[in-house]
Amino acid sequence: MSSVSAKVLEIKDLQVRFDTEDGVVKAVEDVNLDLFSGEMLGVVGETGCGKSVTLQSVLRLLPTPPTRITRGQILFHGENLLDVSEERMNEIRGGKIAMIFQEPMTSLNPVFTIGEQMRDVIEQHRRVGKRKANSIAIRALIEVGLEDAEVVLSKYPHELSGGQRQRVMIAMALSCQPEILIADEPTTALDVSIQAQILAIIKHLRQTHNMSVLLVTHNLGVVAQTCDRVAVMYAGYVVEKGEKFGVLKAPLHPYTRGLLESIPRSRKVRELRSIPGSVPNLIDPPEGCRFHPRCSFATEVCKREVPILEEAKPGHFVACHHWRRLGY
Amino acid sequence: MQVEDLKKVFRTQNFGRVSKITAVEGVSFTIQRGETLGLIGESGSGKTTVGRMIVKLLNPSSGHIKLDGHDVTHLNEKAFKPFRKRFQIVFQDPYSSLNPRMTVLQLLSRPLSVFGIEKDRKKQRMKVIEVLHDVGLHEEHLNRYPHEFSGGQRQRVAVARALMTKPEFIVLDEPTSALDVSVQAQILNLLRQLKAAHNLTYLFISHDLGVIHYMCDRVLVMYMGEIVESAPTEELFTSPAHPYTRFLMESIPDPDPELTNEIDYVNKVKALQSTYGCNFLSRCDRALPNCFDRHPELVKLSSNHLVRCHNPLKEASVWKRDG
Repeated sequence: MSSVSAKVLEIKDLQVRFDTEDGVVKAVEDVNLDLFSGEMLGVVGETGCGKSVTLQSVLRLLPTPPTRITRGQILFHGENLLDVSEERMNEIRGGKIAMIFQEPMTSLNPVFTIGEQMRDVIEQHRRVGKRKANSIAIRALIEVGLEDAEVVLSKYPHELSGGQRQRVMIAMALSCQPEILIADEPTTALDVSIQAQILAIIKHLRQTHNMSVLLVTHNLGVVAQTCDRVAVMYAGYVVEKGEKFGVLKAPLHPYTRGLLESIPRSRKVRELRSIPGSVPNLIDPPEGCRFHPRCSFATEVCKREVPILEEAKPGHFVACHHWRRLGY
Repeated sequence: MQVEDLKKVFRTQNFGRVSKITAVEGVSFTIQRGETLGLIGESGSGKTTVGRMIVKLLNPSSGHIKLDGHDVTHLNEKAFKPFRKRFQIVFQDPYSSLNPRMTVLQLLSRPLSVFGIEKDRKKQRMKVIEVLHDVGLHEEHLNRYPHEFSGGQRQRVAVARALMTKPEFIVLDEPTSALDVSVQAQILNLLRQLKAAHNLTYLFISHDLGVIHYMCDRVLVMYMGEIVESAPTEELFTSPAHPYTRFLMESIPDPDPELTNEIDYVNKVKALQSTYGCNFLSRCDRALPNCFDRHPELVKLSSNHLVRCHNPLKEASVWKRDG
């Protein structure tokens, strides 16, 4: 990532709440993320950390109610997406910012062929006729490695494999030449070998189309192998962010470190380090640092005060009262 | 336990058209008492089907399963019952494997009644508490329902249920793939402790090579219903002989950003079962003319390393994580 490139997306102080029968879920707290032109940013965290909610807020995909975005801005080239009209949003959604999801079977319509669905999207966003739309679709499918594109166009989603469906989704996203691709756990439902292909395709397309990519995943390996920068989320907060080499090779937050140590790698390890307990309930989250009940370094101050995200090293941010004690 | 030439053919019907799918094709292996045998493969490789046939949740189409020399393949449910309690299985998804309308106490005392191990309610309760402690849960959890637990705790309950009959052998079918990594680590450690404490034998089914490496003594690699490689864990990871095994290892994104794999994934696309030659042919970059003609046999490279390949790899390790 070069420092001269422009910011294309800026999430500022985002706070999201869900109203449920059991109470208000404090899903996202003061999240700040920047995405630069041509950059690939990974957002990692476990179930319920708010990573998907954050990114779905960008495209306003969360139903309101129960969702309330109680604070914050989402700036796309300076335009606050939380304020714009639904019409303008429809132009941006899919056109300027495209999104792909975890389970491609549920994001494709089972009763229409791939061709019908792709042409529909292309006609809508690129304002072209049927024939032109068709040729754009074919080109996009070939680009994602589906060489028999015309055959694929005539098929229904259930006739394709999981990896093929995800590639169709990527082709569909790509066909509208978006500036930003948001990928929400795009490979979680797939086998490792297919995952490797899909990631290779996303990396390749990012370079050839100068797209910015926001990748949400729970897999630190995926981030390490594809992204430029990483943001680690826990229980609604960004707890650490920075260049991937800094965050993954010399993590400053005890949670990031715990996550990395939890990954089984070798039999030579006598016992795997694990993080005790489980992710907190966000209706009634722990006071202070939300990680403190599971943290072996926690002290009194952690129970009282929420740590702010501070710049520990150039470009490497951490939200922990004790990072100085823990740093490598 | 000995498994010989196990085969499973599923019949499916699609708008009246009957087709046969061979899920498992002539799988043979033995499991020694006290070992953890890993079974790895991608979805559709037949690994789960093998696991289910071993605990007789599915009946094999042909082949034999022998326990301590007894052939149990064709025993009916009644005759199999004495064996049944020695064999347990833990499933992937603790959300669907636990009855949502039963409390932990009911779930765990059930096997005691069914197998006639303990009829007395009070003693059942004592035994349940004992096993709960073993898996890191407590007496206070007895009267809770599955939905009150987190995913990791549910999987602990599922493990506890498997332990109730004091089995010798447990099939673990992707026991941690529905869990977050930090919780996965807890469960893997627990399974290792339990194995040591109760002298258990595991068949550990997974698609995650890291998990397999951490847990297993010996590994079988399955591809399209067949075993394509079998070796002790260390040997498999340091010198995989089958191109598919190496391909799997290279496909895993490593959390260390300095360890990168540069292989051309885009071209390794299709998985078609060829009617001739080797099943892996369409994805293999080492294919020889021979590979098109003959389906390879499982051959011995050394006393404990088997591979199904005409042109096995000879170069050293791709597993970089030990460093």
